[in-house]
Amino acid sequence: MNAGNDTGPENPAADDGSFDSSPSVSDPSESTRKSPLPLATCVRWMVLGEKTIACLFLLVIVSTMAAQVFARYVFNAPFQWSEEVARFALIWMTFISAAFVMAERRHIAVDMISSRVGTGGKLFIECLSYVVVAASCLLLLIGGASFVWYVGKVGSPALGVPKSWWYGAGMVGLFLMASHSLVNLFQVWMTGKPLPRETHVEEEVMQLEMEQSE
Amino acid sequence: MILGLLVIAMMVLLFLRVPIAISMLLPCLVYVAWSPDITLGVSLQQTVGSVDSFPLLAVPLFIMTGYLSNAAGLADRLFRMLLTLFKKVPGNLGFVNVFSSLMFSWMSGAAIADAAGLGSVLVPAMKKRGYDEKFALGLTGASSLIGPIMPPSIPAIVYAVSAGVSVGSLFFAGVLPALVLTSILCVFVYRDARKNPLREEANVQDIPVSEAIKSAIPVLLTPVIILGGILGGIFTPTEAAAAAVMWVLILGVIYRSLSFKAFRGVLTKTATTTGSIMLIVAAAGLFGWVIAREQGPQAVTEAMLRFTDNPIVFLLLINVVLLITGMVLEPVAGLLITVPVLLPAAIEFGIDPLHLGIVMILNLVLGLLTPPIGLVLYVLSSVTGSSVQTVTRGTIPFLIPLLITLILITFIPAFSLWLPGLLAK
Repeated sequence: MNAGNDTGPENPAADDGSFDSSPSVSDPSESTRKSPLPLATCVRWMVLGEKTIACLFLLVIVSTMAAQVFARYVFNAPFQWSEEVARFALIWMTFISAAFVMAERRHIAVDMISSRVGTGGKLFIECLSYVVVAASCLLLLIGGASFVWYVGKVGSPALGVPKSWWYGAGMVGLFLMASHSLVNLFQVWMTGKPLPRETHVEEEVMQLEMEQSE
Repeated sequence: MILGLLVIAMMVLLFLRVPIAISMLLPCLVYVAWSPDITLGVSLQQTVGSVDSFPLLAVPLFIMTGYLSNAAGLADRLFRMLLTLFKKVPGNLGFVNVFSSLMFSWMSGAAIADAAGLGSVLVPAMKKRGYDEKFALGLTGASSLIGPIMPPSIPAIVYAVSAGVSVGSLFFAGVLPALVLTSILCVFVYRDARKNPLREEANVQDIPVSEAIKSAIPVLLTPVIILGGILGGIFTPTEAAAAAVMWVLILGVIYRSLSFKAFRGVLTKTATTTGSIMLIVAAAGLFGWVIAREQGPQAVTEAMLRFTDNPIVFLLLINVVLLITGMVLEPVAGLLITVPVLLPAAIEFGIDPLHLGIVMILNLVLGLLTPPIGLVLYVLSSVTGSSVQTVTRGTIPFLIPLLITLILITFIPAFSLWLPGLLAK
């Protein structure tokens, strides 16, 4: 792992942080340049893990759906279980992905007012949104716990997987989302700077060539 | 009363830049926690339960088809074919711009991807050959809206699931409206080419037309597999999406254009986009449940009926409401919030859910081109280096063809209903 590249949210904050008046802020940011905060490393591993799991579930969806078509037309023996497996994978993929998307602050939001206020206002809005996210997730977790417990013994029709494993995806994802937003909040609080928000337009750009038209 | 509070709370949170999904979730959670006769567990059941749907599996699969075909360089083959086909036509880059949007629709379910992809390549090329910068930007922006209407499209899947109609039927309902928009934009390109006859046209690489077509045929087979498969009853839309992923994967392997590293990147990007869209779907599950429990749809239907009993006035009203919604909200989120409220009223007015779906999608994607949010405007500005003001000014004249399309599609239901009706027989 190259610390220079992967510290992500820490590094830009560290560059600016040294200009801050309070020494307590510039001290930890000095040390980030040599070795990243344990917290940042931890988040990085968490995100990597979440991405890996989400991608595996995506592969499960692709392969079971392809296999379902194949079984029906080539073997003439449609599967009973493929649809349920794919739906199960979709639920887990959704909530696990939502967690790392939250860590990278890429959830879809309305940028109408926040792009028109000053630095202080931006900082306030950002912190408030982390608090709201964490609070909502925790509220849903509290309510969900008894529900998951209650439906736990009911099995799904084709596979017999207990329903708690299905709704558990929501619980795990919400817990991860709450943790990520609290960590983000902590980082903003430590550095006093908003976390960078990347635009990712370049990811959407297609590889087209005009060739010899120059 | 309670409904009003819920909506106001949601809007306050939205404008405070709380993620859309959470803005929908928190007011509903507070409502559920407050209500004495329901347990908070219902909210988990509704959120997770609304993701648990077979048609929605098509969302990650079609997103993956798009990223995958781009990573495998398939877009480039189609693009070169179009450049060769239109080589001798005046205004060729304009036509290439419009037809690329139509042909790329299966690779870019989102207008953003289309605008970013074509904007970065075509706008500089058009500028260099004497096209007006604003015309190039506006055309790219306007044509990028073809993608979300032409099947397969992510907003169409989300609407179909939310409204309880068949995804396949809604896909085919979008074909003619997309072609209407395409033809109207072609008229604009033709008029512009007539006005500037002495423009130097693009001299593309000199490959014979037949060769360019031959190299693009396997790529062109992808939409044939998707739409033909659904049409022929061979696949469900979800299976068609999986088949498209497999086909594109095979092409990437045959052309040796897809590395393992690029494939990993495709998986991560698909998971990221899916995560952000499907979390909104999950939150909308609870939102819709709460709205229904508070009799929101009935209240809206009654208010509408008291206001008018004319379906045309109702459709006009819907257009205005949705255009405003689209200015603030991203299309998928806009659909998920408005469908549960507007659909029952529309049915009461005798409007077909398929027709309503196409009208709603077109209305909401128009917001991508209008300030204050106008995502496509920002994307175009960021990939071309033109200022947002220039992009906006370039887009304004193109709102006319878009509004003409919108009016045609709103008031002539046959555009949306003729094809699905034909197929149902």
